[in-house]
Amino acid sequence: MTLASSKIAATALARAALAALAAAALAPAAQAQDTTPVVLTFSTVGDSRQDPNTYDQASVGATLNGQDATWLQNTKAFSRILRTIQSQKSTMLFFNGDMINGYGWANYGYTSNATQSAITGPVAPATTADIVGSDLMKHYRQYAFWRGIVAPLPETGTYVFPVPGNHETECKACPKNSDGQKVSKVENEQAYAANMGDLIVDTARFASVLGSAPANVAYGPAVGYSPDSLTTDQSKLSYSFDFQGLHFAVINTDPVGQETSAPAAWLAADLAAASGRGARRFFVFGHKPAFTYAYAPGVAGSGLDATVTTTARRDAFWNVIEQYHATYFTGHMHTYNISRPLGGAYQVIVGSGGSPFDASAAQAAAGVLTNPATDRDYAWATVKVHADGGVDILGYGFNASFGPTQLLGQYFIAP
Amino acid sequence: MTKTLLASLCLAAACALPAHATTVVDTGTPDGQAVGSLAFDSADWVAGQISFASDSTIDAIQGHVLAGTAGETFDISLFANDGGVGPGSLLYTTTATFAGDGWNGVSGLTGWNVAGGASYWVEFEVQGGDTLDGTALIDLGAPSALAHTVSTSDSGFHYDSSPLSFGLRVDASTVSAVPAPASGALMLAGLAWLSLLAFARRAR
Repeated sequence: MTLASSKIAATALARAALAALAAAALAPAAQAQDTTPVVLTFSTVGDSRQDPNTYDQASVGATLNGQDATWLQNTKAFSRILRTIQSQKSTMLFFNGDMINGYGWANYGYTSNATQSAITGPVAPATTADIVGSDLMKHYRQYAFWRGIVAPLPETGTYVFPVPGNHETECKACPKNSDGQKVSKVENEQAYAANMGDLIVDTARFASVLGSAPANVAYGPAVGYSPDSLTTDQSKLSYSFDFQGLHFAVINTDPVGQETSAPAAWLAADLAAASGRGARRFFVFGHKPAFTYAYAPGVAGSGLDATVTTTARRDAFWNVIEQYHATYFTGHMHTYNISRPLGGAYQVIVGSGGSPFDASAAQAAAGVLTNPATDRDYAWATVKVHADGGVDILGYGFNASFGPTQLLGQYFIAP
Repeated sequence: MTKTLLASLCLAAACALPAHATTVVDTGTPDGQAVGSLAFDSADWVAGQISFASDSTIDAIQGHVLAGTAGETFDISLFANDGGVGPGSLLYTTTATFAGDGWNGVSGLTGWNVAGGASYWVEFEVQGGDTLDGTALIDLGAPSALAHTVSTSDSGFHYDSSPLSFGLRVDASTVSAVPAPASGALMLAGLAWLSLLAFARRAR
């Protein structure tokens, strides 16, 4: 630096160096704590679907643009997240559900109304409008648009893994179950499998993106096999694999007949098998959080802790997570929060991929948000796994006004 | 006497050379905290508006960067002002190497000439063949933030009403076509001293 050529400048340099040293001494370490090489980087986010009625006007404007009003995505937020994830050199993206607004009944002849408060059917379609307006058609159309948005990722180094969410599997207007939960429909599960199944898990394509194939690919329980009292084919909704000594498991948290529940028994067997193979780390991805994040006073349980019944099943699920020191990545709540609910395993909520924020602009203005700096951020997590098994979880995001991308949080799991 | 005159001319010529580099922009050191810093990758860049009192040549530019890997590279560029809303045309660009958390940049620049009274934008960006890791950060919290900054996160251009307090240091050398007043005075003092020596020699 040419400053050294001047005595005055040299003094300034020395002063600045002292200031820098003082700042370094006072400030927390900026670098990751693990200095061994990063062997794998992946990202995760969920909930990019837009809502046709209750979109966040403070963020996206008074009216949706024609594109997002038709295909029900927050394209601006989600596409920006995808571009940044790729610039961060993530080789895998786990999308934690609610890629479509869905919420209908993707069965022949069923049609929900505009607010999805009522559903009619089965009625054989008599006109083109009947077909185009049907729930089945809407689900498929929205899936296709989302697939188009993520299609470039595998071509440029990032394999995409889908996770089913309640908007894919449940029917909003259908009668609720005895526990007050919306019910999932087998036809919705089938629509999901039809539109996502090619990604679960295409080992050849995975190998072409990441250089080597995943190992020990396992699929969720088929019909008739019910360690978790499941009755429908889950082979495309829950699945797992090993890669580079790490184990990844995706679970359906809203299977038909067991809505708002994780397949704890299947997962326990899956993680036990992976542990037996010597897996060093366990990463689990599901749509609904195990523990609801109270972003403001009075927030009701909307995750796996929604009711007494589901909470009991949640406990069984979380015991598995804790037993294997797994990390649970989730969506559903349209916000960002990373925590250790019971002081052990991490729960990473990143259901902030574009859907209307749970924390409203009015709540932000009233100053009642728990984490006002991040509760209304579009956010995702990028995870860096080090050679020694250490893990950095980095939360990134930008605010509702689409400001600059910031590091929202940094967490380290020791080897 | 001829030697005396030559010495005087040399002294005067020396006085007309560009001044040594001085720090013309210094925001102070940011807080060094990763959380809250800006993403610094191929999808995100920042720029800040600076100006110069007189015609100058920029010698060095540094930014406060965190969480890279030593040896990785990023770009530092200078843009013209496009009328007050952000960077206009690209004037100069160079590649910098990340050395470690803290001030990182380039020195020994040549030909980065700027006009006095004009505004410019210094930009930090990861692009092209740059190798800076995708999770590097632009540190915020500088005590004397620039008044005007812009950023983009690949979804558009952000002119920040609340300036981004990233760290920036710019060193520049003033370029002067005629001796500055102080230099002129020094030259006159030199001539007077030489005349005094000549007078004393004649008196002996």
